[in-house]
Amino acid sequence: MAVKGWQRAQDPALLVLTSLAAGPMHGYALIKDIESIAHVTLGPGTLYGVLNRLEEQGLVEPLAAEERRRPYRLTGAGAAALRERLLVTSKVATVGLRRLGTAHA
Amino acid sequence: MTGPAKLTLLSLRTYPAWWQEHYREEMEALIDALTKEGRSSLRISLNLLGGSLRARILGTGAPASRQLWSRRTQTALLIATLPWFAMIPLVAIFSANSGEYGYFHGSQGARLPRAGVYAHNFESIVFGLAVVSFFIAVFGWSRLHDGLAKGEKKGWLPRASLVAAIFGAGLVLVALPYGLYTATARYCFGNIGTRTSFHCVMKPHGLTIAQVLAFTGLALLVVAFVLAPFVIARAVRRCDLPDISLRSGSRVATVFSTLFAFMAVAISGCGVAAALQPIPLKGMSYYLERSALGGWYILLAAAFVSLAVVSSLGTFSARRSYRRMIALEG
Repeated sequence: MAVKGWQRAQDPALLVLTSLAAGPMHGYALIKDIESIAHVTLGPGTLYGVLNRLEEQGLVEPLAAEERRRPYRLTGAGAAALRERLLVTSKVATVGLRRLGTAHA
Repeated sequence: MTGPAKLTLLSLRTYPAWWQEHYREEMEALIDALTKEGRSSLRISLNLLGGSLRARILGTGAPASRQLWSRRTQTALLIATLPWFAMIPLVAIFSANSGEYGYFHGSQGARLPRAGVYAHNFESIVFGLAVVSFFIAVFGWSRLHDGLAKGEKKGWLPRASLVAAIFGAGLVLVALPYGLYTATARYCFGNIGTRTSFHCVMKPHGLTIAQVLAFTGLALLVVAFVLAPFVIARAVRRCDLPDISLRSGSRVATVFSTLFAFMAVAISGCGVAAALQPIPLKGMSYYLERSALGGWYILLAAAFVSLAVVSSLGTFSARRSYRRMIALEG
């Protein structure tokens, strides 16, 4: 049974970084990609709040604007931070799943 | 342009200038795309308002300009401290409508029930904190006044406020004692100007000159009190406060927001405790907000909580901006 509100607990910054790992994207493409990979809808205020923070931390950078849309891409530091975070998450997920498997066996 | 689209555009305009310079165009493109897809404009607007509030409070991504962060600190200090001017009338409403409510069944030694005692204590805490906040406000004003630009040409607003305050205080001090105690009935002309009305046979009608003057004085004081936050806001926005004023301002704001938070808790606690009292028995008294306030008590408590939240957000933003400003100097 799915617990309501559980998916909202996902970190938008992690979702944006994960999405940008596929290559440069502008705002709309990011929202659509995050919806497809995590079933989470980010509003424009949330998305640009996250992009702003990540930009200031040097984890993403803007590219030249295409008409009104400006794509963003992951920086080297952003890729490293994402890899580190995903490894930890993956380890937690593996342990959690193994324990669940043992408990429910 | 449709209503919801206008709302979205207005929400986007609530972002700070530096943010709009950087992101506005691409955000507009994104909002256009989302709206064409049939997403709710209201939801988008609410999300934008939340983002705008975050951007204003945190200032993440704002240019590394000392002047900008100094101005941000000043604005945040105003947001943190000006709620005091709204808090004081609320305390007056609370004070006029709360208290121990009579002794039932004529018992002289009537006592409050336990919940009533708690309500009474909470009420005392609110008044105590209001008095402390007054002294903090005077201290804060004295520190702020030192930092305001000297010799600047003053507009009509500060003058009007000052004149209203001086005349109001004068009239109240001179006339109020007479206004309060002088007989008011035309049957008691002989008593006007004296401090007694006990010789009046009939219930007095109308106002004496002393009372008219006293009420005029009170009205002028109210005008001065209402104008004061605008005068302060205008004076602060027109000048660049020195670092020392910003630092002491941040401290005053912290104390203010803490006091407001305690007052909001105490007022809420008072309401809850009053509601928990049992029906008064013989020999018991009863604490409650009078019927004039009644169900509005919840709104009063909500107003206190809202002001406390606004002040806390302002304080948080002021302290953050001040630290950033100092870091930029280094």
